[in-house]
Amino acid sequence: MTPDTFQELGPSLRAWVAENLSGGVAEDLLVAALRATGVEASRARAAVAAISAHPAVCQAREAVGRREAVEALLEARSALHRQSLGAAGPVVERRRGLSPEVFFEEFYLRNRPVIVEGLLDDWPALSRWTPEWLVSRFGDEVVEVMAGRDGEPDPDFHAERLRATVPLRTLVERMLAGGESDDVYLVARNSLLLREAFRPLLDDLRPPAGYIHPDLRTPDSVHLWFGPAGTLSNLHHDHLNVLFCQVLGRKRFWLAPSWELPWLYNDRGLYSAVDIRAPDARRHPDFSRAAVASCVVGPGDALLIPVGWWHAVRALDVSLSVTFVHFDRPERNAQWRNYWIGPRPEKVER
Amino acid sequence: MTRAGASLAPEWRRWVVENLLRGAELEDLVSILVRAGVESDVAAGAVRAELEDPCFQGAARAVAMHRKLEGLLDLYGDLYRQAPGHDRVDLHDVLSPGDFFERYYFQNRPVVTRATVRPLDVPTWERLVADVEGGAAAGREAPVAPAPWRQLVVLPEGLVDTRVAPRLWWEPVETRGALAPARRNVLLCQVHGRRAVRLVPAFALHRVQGASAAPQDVPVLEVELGPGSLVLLPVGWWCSWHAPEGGAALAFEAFLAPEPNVDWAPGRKPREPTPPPRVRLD
Repeated sequence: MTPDTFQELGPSLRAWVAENLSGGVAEDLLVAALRATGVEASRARAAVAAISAHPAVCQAREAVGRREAVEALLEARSALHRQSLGAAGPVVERRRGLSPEVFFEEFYLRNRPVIVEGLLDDWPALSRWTPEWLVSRFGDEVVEVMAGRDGEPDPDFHAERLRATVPLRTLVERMLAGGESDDVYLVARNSLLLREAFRPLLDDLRPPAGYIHPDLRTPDSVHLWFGPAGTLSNLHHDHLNVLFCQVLGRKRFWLAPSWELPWLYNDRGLYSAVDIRAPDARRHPDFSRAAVASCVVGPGDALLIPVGWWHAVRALDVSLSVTFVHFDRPERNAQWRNYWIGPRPEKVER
Repeated sequence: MTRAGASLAPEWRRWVVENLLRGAELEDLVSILVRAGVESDVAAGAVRAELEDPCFQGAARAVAMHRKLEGLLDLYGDLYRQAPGHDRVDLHDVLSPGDFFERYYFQNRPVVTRATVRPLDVPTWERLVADVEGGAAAGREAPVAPAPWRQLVVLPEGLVDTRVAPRLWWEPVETRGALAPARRNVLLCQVHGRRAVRLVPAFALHRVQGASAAPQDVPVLEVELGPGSLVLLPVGWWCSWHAPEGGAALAFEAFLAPEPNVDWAPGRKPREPTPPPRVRLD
């Protein structure tokens, strides 16, 4: 081993080899994978051997057995879940008149999603909120949006850079004129409902009794999502339970269980490398093992996105959604700690 | 270009790397190095070089994923502790197969119900043990010949495939089983003597692993089994027990689910590499 052979791979390939060796992948498999990318055999072998001796890799590799034990445990849980599904395969249950007790015991605490129908029946927002009404009432107010999403392959990863401010009127005009688009999206990060001018919107919501904490004026307790047909949030998970309430239009959801993390190619932060629009079976073969359920939520539906569940969301119409994270429980929302992978490229406020 | 950390002695470099992987702050490491006699520029440069080294960064990502996986187990633990009745094992005199599978087996939760067990007389007991001991490969857990156990036990219908012979657990007075994980689901039917069982949930894995007893911060569920008790030991859960007067139990492992059982088998398959980065090679 000489420093020169060690340096021969580019930094991203070296990091990739180090990560895989540290995670317990055998050297031979990595040599073969490097050769498949065009690295010559002896160079690949030398590089893998050198990286294998790196003190960080040696240190990380000591924990491989323990990591494999956790992953195998999740695999067992996944096998049990799959067997419970029956012939229909993965579906998200729909319930009407679900009591908070049953909601928490059978879904929230068991980390299972559910769509609750009729939970928003008493919301004035359900009949009042339309793009036109919003313009007539708040058209001159300036709102913060993510714009230029189309030009950015990972818009949700570059939220800060894509921040822009426009009058609500302009946003709605663009939305209605543009047809299907992922270019501009008013997302939860902007805490719109906390701004004085938009406070009247809060009065059109009713925190579902027994489900959500009645005080909506706590920061971050309620968020608004407003965008055209076509907005897409690709596969990711949240670190809290979220009650997703659809006010206007429909959204399609794809959901995969939290315990399937090992097959979700979580390569950065809380994002999956898999593109839900076109999963690449060659590059991401394990994704086909995930029990992905797909469902459509429409006006009046409330979906529990259980903490850690992978989800992708696509708007089928011009869409308005409201999300809550402060549940009406003595305990705080269950939190996934240490969930972020890799450096935090930008501060993302939630 | 020099390799990262080349300016430090190898043992100091290992120390730096170890601590960075544990999440130590750059400044703290530099000040310790300085106190050990390293010039502050050299110390800061060495630590920074390590952080910028792609090999370190790759290893750090693997460590982060391991922490994330353990964080998920802790999350399941938090949810578990919020559920009413989480500190005891549910007990049902009668439990339908539907409830058994939906509420317990598929949810990876233990449960106790009942089988009908005939009192064990001395000849039957001797025949049962003789069958086990007669087999060359018989350990303390061995398959039992069908004839004797069917005379002893009538199980509730619909839980396990009774055509598959159970294993016999039998032990002399004052036997203790150390805390060990269930590698697959076991439906344990106590046929003789009492057995005090302590169960630790599967999500406590990273807290229990390597420990001789359950640590303080981990839930422990206690169940007392007597003849006729039927307990589901879920895959991945940890179990220790005490049989004060000795005893015997039959362990059934062929469940009437889409698959007969689910294994917890770490390292069974070689791990595949993640997709390589999309880079142009020159």
